[in-house]
Amino acid sequence: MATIVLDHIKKRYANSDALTVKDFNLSIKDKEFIVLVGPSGCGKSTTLRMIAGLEEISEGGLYINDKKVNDTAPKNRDIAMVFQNYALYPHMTVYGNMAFGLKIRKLKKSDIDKRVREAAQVLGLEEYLNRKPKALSGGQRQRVALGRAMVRNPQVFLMDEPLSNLDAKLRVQMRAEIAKLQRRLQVTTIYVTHDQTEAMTMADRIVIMKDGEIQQIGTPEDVYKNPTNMFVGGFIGAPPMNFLPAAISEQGALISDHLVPLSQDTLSKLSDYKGKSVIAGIRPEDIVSVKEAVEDAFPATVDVAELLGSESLIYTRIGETSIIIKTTAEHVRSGEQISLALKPDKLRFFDAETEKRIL
Amino acid sequence: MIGMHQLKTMYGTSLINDPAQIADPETYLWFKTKDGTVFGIKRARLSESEQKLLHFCFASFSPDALNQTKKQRFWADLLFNNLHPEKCPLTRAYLLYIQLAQFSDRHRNLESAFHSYFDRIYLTTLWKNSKQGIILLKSAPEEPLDELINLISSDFYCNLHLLCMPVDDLSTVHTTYKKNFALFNKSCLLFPERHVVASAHLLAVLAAEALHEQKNSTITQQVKRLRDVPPELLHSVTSYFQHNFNLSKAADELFLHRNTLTYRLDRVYQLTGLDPKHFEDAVILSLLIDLYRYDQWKRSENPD
Repeated sequence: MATIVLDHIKKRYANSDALTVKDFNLSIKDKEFIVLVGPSGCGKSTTLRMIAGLEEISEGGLYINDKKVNDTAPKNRDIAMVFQNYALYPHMTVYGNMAFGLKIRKLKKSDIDKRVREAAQVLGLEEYLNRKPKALSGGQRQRVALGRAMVRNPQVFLMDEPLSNLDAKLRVQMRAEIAKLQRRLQVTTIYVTHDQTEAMTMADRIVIMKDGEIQQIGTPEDVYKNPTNMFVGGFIGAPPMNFLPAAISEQGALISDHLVPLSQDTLSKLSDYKGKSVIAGIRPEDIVSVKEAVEDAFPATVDVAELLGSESLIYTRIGETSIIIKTTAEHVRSGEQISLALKPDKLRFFDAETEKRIL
Repeated sequence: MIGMHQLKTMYGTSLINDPAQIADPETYLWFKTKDGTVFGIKRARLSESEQKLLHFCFASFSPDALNQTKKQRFWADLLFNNLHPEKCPLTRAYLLYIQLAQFSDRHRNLESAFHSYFDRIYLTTLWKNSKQGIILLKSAPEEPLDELINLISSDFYCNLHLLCMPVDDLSTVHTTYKKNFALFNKSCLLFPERHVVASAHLLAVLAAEALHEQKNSTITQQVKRLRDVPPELLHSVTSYFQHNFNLSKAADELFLHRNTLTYRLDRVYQLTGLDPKHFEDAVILSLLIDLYRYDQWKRSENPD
C-alpha cells in the first residue's frame, strides 16, 4: 500500500509558456480515496497523468512511499489506471482482457488464472468470463476495466473519469460499487472527475482545482460547509451556494435593505469589513421559507417551484439576486408570495474583490 | 560524445554488437551509432539514468528489424527505403502512425496488443525506432482509436499519439509517408493533448508552416486578431467544438451556465467576426485557433 506526496508539482507543456498545473501540493495517506475535481481545463487529468508517469513533471517532486519517483519508469511505479472509455480489447474475452496485462509481465499461467478468477468473483463477472466486450452492458464493461486494474494488485489506483460514459442511473450504482471496492481492497486511490456529486459521495478528501491551481483540500463535509472561496461554494453542492451582496453594519449584515442580525462574536471577526461591501453566501437548505408574511423576513415571489418528492426547490429572488431554496416545507406554486429568513449562523462571508472567504 | 571504446571499457561483456549472438535480444537495449554500428547493452546493467543518457547520445535500434517477416520486409522496403517489390500483395492499406512519448523496449508485446485490438484487419507493425512506428491495416479501423490509446497507457504505461491515413497509391507511398510523419511529429509537439491526430490537424500544421513567412496575408492578420481574445473565451470555444456543438455538455464540463457559455460564444463572434455556432464560421475558427497556437509557439521560441 502507498502514501503519495506531490511537492510543488508544476507542469508546462513544450508548446506553451503557461503552466497547466501550478504549484500543486498534496499529501495522500495510505488507503485514502482522493478525488480531484474541477471544470474542464483545470489540470486534474494532467496531474493524474504525471502521477502515472504518462506526462513528465516540469518542476517539483513526486514521492510514493517516501521515494522520489520523478525519474522512475511508469511501469515501475506499481500503479494501475482506469479510463473514461472502457479501454478493452474488443476481440478478446473478458478473461483474455483481464489476463493480458499479466501475460505481458510473464506471470505464471496458474497465477494469472487465480488473480483473474478472484477479481471476477469480487466484481460479479464470473459468468461473463467467456464473453466478448460487445456482449456486455456498459456497467459490466466498466467492471471489466476495473478488473484489468485489480488483477495487477497495484499499490495505487488512478481513475480518470471512469463513469463519464455511463448513463445517470448506472453512474449512481457504479460510484457506490467503486467506493465499496476501494474500501474492501484498501488501495490508495486517486480519482478524477468533473462531477461534484461523484466527488462528494466517494471521496475521503476532495481536491478542488481551477485554472491549474488547488482551490481547497478537505473532507466532503468541510468543503461543503466551509468553502474557502466563492468558486468552491458555487462548485460544490447541487444546487450551489447562493451569493448575495451585503454590507456589514454595527448590528449585522445588510442584505437587500434588510438587516440580518449577527452575533457579537461574528461581528467582531468581521470588524475590518464594517461599512464595506462583502458577499454573503448561504446554502439552499439554510434559507427558511414560509407562506405567510413575517415581519423582518424577506418578501419574495416564487418564480418556479420544483417538487422532488420529499423536498422542493424554490427559485426566487432576494432583491435583484436570483436564489434557490431547498425545503421540506409545504409545496408552493409559481407566483405565490412567500417570506424568507436566512439562518444567521449558516451565513458565510466573502471578500467582494478577492472572492476569498472572510468568515 | 561517448565513444564505442569507452562504452566497452564501462560495460565489458555486457556490450555486444550482434543481436544474432544471443537468444533473447529483448534482454538488451539496442542503439546505432552515426557510422551505422549497432550495439546492445544488457538491460540489467543499466540504471534508468544511464538508459536516458544513452538514448540521448545514440539513435535507438530495433533488433526486430533483423528478424522481420517477409510481410514486414515488404512494407519496410516500400515505406522506409523506397524500394518497390515486383509483386504487390495489396493495392490499398491504412497506415496508423505511432508516436510513443516514452522509450519502449517491449515492441513484441505492443505488436501483440495491436494485433489483439484490430484482429482481422491487422497486417503488421514496423518500427522506425524505439519510439516511432507504423501499424499496417487492411481497412479503416472499426474500433475507436482513443480506446487503443488508453489500453496501451494502462497495459504498457506509455503515452502515445496515433494518426490514421489511407494509402491509395503504393508508388508514392514512401514520399507521402515521410511527409505525413514529419507533420504528425509536429502535430504531437504542438497539440500534445490530441492523442488521436486527425488529418484536419495535419492541415492546420501544413497551413501554419506555409503562412508563417507571409506576415501580412489576410489569414495571418486574422490569426493576430485572436491575440486580443481572452484565453478563457478561446478555451470555451474549443470545448464547445470538442463537444460537437453541444452547448449543455460543454457548459457542464466548463462549469458554466448555458447562458454564460452562449454569452462567451457571442463575445467571440463580436471579437473575430466568426460565429462559433455557425458551421462554416466554426470550421474557419477552429483552423484559426490551431494557427494561433502555432503562432504562439513560434513566438515563444523566438520572442524577438
